Amino acid sequence: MSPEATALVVHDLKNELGALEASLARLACAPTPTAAEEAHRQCGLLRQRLVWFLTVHGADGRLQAHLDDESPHELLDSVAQRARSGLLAGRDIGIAVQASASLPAVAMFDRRLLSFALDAAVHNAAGFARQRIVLAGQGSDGTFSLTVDDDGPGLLAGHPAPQDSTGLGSWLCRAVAQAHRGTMSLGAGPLGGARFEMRLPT
Amino acid sequence: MAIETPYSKLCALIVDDMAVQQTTLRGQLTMLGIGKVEQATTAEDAIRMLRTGRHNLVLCDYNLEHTTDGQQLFEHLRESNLLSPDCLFFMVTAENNYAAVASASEHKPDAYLLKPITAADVGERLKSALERRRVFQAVSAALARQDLAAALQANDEVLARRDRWALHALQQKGQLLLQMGRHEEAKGVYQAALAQRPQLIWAQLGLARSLKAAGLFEEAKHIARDIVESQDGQRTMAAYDVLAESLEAQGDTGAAQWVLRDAATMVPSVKRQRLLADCAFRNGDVDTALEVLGKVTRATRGSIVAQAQDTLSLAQALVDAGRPAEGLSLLDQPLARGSGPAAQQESVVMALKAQAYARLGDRDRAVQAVGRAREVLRNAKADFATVALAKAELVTGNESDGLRLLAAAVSSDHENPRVRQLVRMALRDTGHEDKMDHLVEAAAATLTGRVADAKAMFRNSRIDEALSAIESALKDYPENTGVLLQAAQMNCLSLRLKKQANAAVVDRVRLYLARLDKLMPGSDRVTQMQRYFRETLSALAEPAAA
Repeated sequence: MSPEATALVVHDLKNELGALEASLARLACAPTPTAAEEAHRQCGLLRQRLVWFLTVHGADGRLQAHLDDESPHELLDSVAQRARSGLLAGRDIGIAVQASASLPAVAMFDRRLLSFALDAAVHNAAGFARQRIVLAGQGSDGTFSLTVDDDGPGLLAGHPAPQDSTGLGSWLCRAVAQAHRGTMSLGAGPLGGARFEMRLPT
Repeated sequence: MAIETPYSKLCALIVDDMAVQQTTLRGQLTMLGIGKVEQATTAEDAIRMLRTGRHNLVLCDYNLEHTTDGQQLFEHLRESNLLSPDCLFFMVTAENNYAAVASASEHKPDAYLLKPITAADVGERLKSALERRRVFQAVSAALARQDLAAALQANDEVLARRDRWALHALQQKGQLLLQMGRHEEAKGVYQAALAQRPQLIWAQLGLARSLKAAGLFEEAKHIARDIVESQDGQRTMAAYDVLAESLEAQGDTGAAQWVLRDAATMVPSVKRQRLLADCAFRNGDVDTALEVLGKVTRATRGSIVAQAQDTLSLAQALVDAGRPAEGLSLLDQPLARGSGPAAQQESVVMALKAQAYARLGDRDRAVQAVGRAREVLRNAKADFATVALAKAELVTGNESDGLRLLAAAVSSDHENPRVRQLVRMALRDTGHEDKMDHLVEAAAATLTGRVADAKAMFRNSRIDEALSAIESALKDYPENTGVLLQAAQMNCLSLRLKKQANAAVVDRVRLYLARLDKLMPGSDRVTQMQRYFRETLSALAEPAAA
């Protein structure tokens, strides 16, 4: 990451920390289970973004993937589950998994890094989706692709690509794809919104 | 009332010295519904608690304590069989040392968890690890009763399902075939895996191992070198081992030492340093042995991974390097736990002290010490202790006793090149360089002759005489690996010729193979002999052809 990008991310994280502090202050005055849950959710998301930042920043341009035999199906399910219980909790956006029959049962990848990349893509999609996010996977010829589609206004209609305001998600996804000798792209998706895609060797 | 969850019958152990982290982990495990959660703050505590064998999951922090890290504890538990087969081990590491820890481990834990950990992270990894355990249960059960054929069959059943566990099953198939001595088939498995995924390190490593097992050392070295020179494989310690073992098999012990040095530089673990020190010691490279053993003893002082042999080897190296006073002061300190009986260890200490006193010109004390060393060490073996005593005899003027001991050490395992190396160095260090070739060759020739005689009798159909000749050699040198291999082979041949599964003979072969397995763990020659024995038994079990 460039020093400018790093400064931007740190600044952004500081703001989020401020927001969390405000939530906790409100909670201290008027404790309710809903407010506590919201503060907890905020804290979880902030932690997640800090971990992404440390992953990209600490790798110094050479993120290393620890490949293991993993199930892409389980990966998609766990990303969707995490989004439901964290990012999308209390919001009117649904997330569905569509694993094609061609998606291999097993592939070599770093589950932790791919989880980060997909979480970041879902995080981005949630910023634009109206009602739906679809996580999908398919395979062909020694590769498999994982996509995140949203039904938002789409790239041409002002989807401020790449990813989030600071570009952290984008840095992360590109680094994760490279570490797997794969590619990452962003384009128009079938739901009318954007499509994030990672294509990786099995 | 306790609530039944999928994990309520599990008992977990948290090993962490930080109270805050312990509390967090305990809370998370409880949230997952794990029935019982225990805590240990040191490696010693953890070992004591794990001895009860009641734990199903260990969550261990990598940065455990000053003397022992989590990886060392894990490797110690595995190597000492202190982890029950159905206990999962999760390593908890910080972001900044995860890459180093995960890529360099010689034994891989069931999962790595990176801080900060959430209950969902632990839950996900636990579910997956338990699922894998369940899928491969039949394979593990067969392996536990050492039934490799049944393990292979059970593994093939998993492989045939082509599901999420297919790659794991393929990797395991290669390993099982190698363990069974079927290296040609193992090679096929690895080549097929590489055709699909050329980057797979385990398949490249397996291929190198198959080639080494087939005696194709050049090819094995080539692949192993490619692995350690690659970005993904540069910390694959097993590849360095294939390289070093192939070089050693080709007689290039100097190059093997360089490879072990590279490995120890890449991953400076105690295990790696010990392998390097051992090789340097045998090669007579006292400076390297001193440097590395010094590091090892300093790093392991007061730790569960400390070993008496490190101190003994360091003391010998100090004496050899002309620093006997330092050797003596080292030997005056209490020793860590050794592998053998205490009396045996004391005898080695005395032999080393005798050498040191002799070097210092204190003849009386030297003679006294060698006398005490001699009291315990009655049977010469192909080991450090025998060579240390022989050197003590030689430097205190008992030349004939010293030379006799060295000859006996060679005879005890006459085909073992490492013993020959040790003996040659001992002769060099004590000023008997002129006797090196003669003593070593003569001692080996006696045994070679006895084996050759037995083989000749066998060829001349004097089977029982041949067997009794080889058994008699074995009686004299029960740990001679060359004789053991020959005895196992001849007994198998006799079973085949007599077409009868004579129970006494079968048991004898089993005994020899078990002894060989202990003396030469992981040896390709032993694996081949085990295969030959299994094939012999199945040939005898088949109904005779009409």
